[in-house]
Amino acid sequence: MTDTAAPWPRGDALAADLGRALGLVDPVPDAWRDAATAAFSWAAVDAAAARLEYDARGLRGRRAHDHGLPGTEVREVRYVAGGVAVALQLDLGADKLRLLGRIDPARRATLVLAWPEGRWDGESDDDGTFRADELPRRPFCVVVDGARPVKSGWIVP
Amino acid sequence: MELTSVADLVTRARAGDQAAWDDLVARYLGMVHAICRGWRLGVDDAADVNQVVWLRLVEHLDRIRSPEAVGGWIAATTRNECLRVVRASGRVVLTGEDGDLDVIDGGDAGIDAGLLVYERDRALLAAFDRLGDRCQRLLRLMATDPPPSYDEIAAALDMPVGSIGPTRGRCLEQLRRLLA
Repeated sequence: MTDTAAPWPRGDALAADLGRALGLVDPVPDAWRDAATAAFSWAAVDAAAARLEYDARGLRGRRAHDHGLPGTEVREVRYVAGGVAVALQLDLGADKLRLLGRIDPARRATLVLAWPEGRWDGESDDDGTFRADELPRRPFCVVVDGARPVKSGWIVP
Repeated sequence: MELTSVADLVTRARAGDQAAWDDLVARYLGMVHAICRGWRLGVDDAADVNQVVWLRLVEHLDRIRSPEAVGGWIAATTRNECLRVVRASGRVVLTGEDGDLDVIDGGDAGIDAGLLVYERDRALLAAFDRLGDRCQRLLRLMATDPPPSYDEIAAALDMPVGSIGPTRGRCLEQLRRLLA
């Protein structure tokens, strides 16, 4: 189709031309299909889904005990499921994040931080606290193992 | 794809059937993409929205009351995620019914028309890019293969089902005038 002088169609025919042109120049990236397909594996994680109880964002440097880099973003979220709460503090860099967490009631537990392309395995100490540095700034979730495993929802940092 | 088969896919996916999930992805991925592009998200932000939508669907699969309406849920969730990103970026969100049907003069080319071989496609996409955001979102959605249902479009654009057809007609006429 190279004749730009031909009259343009109307209605459905014009919409069809537009759909074809958009499909040529702006196709769905293959990586999107891969990500969508891979998301299904999350369904296999057998853990109670925790409820988001608290979610707040702010800038660093507003509190006396805050020793992070001033001006960077910090986010605090808290999930609860049954009698277990998981509090998270996210220190957000441009493309990385640091995670400080605490399980309440405090206990030593195996933890998985999962994001679509990877995972971090660790554990909390006797005080229920845990820390993960240099995580990619990607959507992630937290799974706390135990007699009744708990998983957070997906957190978009 | 009939509504009953979509419901069947949801039921099978709930039972752990990866093939059913893949069919749901094939059915609705284009719609998710079109919604994201309609909000002019950056490449990384749009990819994150896509990922989050599907992850949330996995979480939500057991709680969907009307499996045949899963497309509407996906459309609304995608829109909400796009709005979250847009607001986080500080961009102003216009939600007017008619105002953003207006033509954009000297609109920002969201499409890389330079990739196209054909002059006629280039002209068509340049005109499309001058349409208001609401027209672009609607026409882009309706150009998706397979096309979303009117209920899904209504959820994606937060507009009444009854106004989709007339609005589409006006947008196509406006597009044609820009091409004239």
